[in-house]
Amino acid sequence: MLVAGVDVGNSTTEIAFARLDPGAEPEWLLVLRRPTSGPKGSVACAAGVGDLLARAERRLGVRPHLLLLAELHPVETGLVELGRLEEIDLARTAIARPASATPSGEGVAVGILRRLAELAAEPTAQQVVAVVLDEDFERAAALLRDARERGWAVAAVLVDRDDAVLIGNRFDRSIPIVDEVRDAGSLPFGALAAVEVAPPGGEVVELADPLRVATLLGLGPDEARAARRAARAVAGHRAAVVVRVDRAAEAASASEGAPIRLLDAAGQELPFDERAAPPPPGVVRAIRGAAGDSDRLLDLCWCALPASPDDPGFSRRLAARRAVAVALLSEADASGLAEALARECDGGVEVVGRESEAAVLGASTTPGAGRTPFVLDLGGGTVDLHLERGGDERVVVTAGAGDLVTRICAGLLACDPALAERAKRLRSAWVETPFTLHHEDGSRSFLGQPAPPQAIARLCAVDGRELLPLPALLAPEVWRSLRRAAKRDVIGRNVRRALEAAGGVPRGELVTLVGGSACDPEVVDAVAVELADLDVAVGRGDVLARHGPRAAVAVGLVLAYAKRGGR
Amino acid sequence: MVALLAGGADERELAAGFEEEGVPLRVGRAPGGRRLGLAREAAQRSPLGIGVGGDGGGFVLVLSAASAYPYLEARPEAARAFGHAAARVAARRPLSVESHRETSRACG
Repeated sequence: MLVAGVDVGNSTTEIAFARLDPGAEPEWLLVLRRPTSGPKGSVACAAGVGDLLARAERRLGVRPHLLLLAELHPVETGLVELGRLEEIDLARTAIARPASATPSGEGVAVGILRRLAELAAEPTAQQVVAVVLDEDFERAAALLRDARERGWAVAAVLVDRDDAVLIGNRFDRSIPIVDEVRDAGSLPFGALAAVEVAPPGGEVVELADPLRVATLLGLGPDEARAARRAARAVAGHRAAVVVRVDRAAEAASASEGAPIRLLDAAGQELPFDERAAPPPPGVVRAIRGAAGDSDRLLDLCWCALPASPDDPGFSRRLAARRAVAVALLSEADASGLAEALARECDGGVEVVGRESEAAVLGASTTPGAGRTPFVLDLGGGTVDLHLERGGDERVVVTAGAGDLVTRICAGLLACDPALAERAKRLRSAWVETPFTLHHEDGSRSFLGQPAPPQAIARLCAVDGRELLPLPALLAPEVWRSLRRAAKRDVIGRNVRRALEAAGGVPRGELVTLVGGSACDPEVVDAVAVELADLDVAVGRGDVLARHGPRAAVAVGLVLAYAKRGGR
Repeated sequence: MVALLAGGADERELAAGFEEEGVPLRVGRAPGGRRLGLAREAAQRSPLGIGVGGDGGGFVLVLSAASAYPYLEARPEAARAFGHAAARVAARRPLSVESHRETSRACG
């Protein structure tokens, strides 16, 4: 009889096809995989399974009689930016952080925001920050020169177009001129603003200092918090604008409350500190707030974006976002999926049991491993520790694995998850010239064909001959250390959490790594480092001596069924 | 950087893009030329090995080390964006996302 062991993971669905005859070893025919086609455990996953079954039918000429499933643990991951939430609450100060790479001038200046057109009128005594909107640069410079000659004190200029240097060269090279200010038209004209431009390669100094911001804008002590948030928001940038917005009678805003609230089994609130380690699995049962509302949680894990000591500007800009990657593991009801799949094959679906047993059985087919009583399944959504001790099986499931690493990489690189998924697995290089690469290990290489223009002077993921430009402008060595930190912080930490929740691993024991994330040598390193103090042997599974760490659960489901005397 | 422009090419906007990026540009006029050929000649004359050619149909940037095809090109109305992009290639700065839309690389 042809059977199929179906492992529906959070990111990947794998199916192992085997012929089972009574009394004989399974005859392994094929293993197929594809991305999971919906949230794990949902009916939408059936489409992906159906696709793999159709592919197998084309290759084998026959459809399996029976589908074997395990119990399912769906995991949701997300990235919450607590800093962005604070910005909305800035209230008393508005900030603009122009993306300009080419501001003009240097230093800090304070003035009242005025449209360029307003400067045609009689000058006032106060210093102004002129705002140029939708104006040709020659004409804008001429109007500014004229305004100054008539007595206006123009201390700084904001420009909506990329014209700062052009205007500065024709008006005044010394004052700060900031361009590419996208929302310049909706700035509060008449309000007091501080503008700063740092020298090339530098970052704003005055506006990154909350005491200086308060002094420059005349903020009172009750507005110090607003000054702190503004300073944090602009730190690490070369040019910045901070505007003082006066509002009547500030009421304590509702969002002063915690953006994320955690509840334990008794409904008591637990403290959430994105810099602290998440509690052991099972402690947090519900979550409310910026990461969404969920009950029936089995585990919650969070991880702040790693910082790099080698690029403090980048780290400060990142710190302003206070981005936290969150993974939630909840109890699932996958009966809908089982019902949808029952229609696919004559013999229907059988839920064979726990993933634990399947993972241990599948990993045990690794040559030389013998019995593998400790199996770490490093998947997309969870890190699962399967233990077998004297016939007693346990599993500890922790939320957060490959997908959480992808989220963090997407946050660091400021790119979409699909690109992050590729970048996290690839080495990187900086394209120094159209023909030369500076690799993350410090080596240089020469390109036979010029790099595409979009890759020039960018960090790129290197996929064979293909260069994938990444949005973040990081030195490749810095990116490498951040990428490895993300893998340590998520997978390394969850391995530790799982082992501690399971009561540890005896010394000298073998820990076998399986799962998609175990295909990544940097992840294997991170786990080995995490387990270094435990004096255990860490090895990668090689399922059926040909699939490497993959397909352990899918193969194990078939073995579990066969063990039960399945026909 | 050297640019050779035939009639119809918008010198002012091209030069503005270069000036904003802080990259010096020498413009020469070549009334009867076609932009790809002009760009190749400009690349030969330029110490950086990068040259710009322009005519009524648009602009082209060529690398002398790979002069068989345009490295960047743009329509005439995108002269300013092209100026920025060309200057950035010379200055080893990354192109902006907007310039990916305005300019393009010929297949090669």
